[in-house]
Amino acid sequence: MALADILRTLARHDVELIVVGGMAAALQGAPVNTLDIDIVYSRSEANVSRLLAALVELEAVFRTDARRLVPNESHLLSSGHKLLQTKHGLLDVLGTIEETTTYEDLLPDSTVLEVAGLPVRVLSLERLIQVKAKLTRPKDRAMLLVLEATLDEKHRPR
Amino acid sequence: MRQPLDTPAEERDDSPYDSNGVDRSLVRWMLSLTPTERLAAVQGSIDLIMSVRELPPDGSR
Repeated sequence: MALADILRTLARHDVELIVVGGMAAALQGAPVNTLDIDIVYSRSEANVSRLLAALVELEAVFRTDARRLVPNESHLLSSGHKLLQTKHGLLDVLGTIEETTTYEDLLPDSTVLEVAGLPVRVLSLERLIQVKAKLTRPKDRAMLLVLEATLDEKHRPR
Repeated sequence: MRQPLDTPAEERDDSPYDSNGVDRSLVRWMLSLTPTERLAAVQGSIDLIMSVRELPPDGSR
């Protein structure tokens, strides 16, 4: 399975990351469609080296660049969003979200799920809702309603 | 407690939709799956989209 292969490669290289966005929502039971995996990663030098090795194995290139530019250490040390295409699918590699929120900031609001036999750290539904609530694009507003309904359903007495 | 008959459909406990129009039956179905099964569901949607993109413009194979 392609998306699982991306997660498997990142895990094999011990990359410190949190899955965010639509994939984090879907893995926690929100019925949302997504075409990619979004991750926020630790920008420590050691972790950037591990992520770079994983991206080499995934044959990642910038999907927005006609030259098929390969991400390098300098790109990964930056806080920006790196929108990549890999041999297994689309992977968005985010230095920060909400402009300045880092991997370390998000860690307390994350949880680990077992996905395809792998431990995968994801941003909690509650924190995803906080992130989406600050955004105004129609697609973010639509996802916010689904996230809120999912959290409500999870807390509903059976 | 029973709800009045004129309660709007989306406000009834048994309605598949919530007041924002979110399909609660879909939420319940996703929540019934394991994370691995949810990933497979997402992958299935991607595979479907990719297969449609590979169709010729007239839809023939």
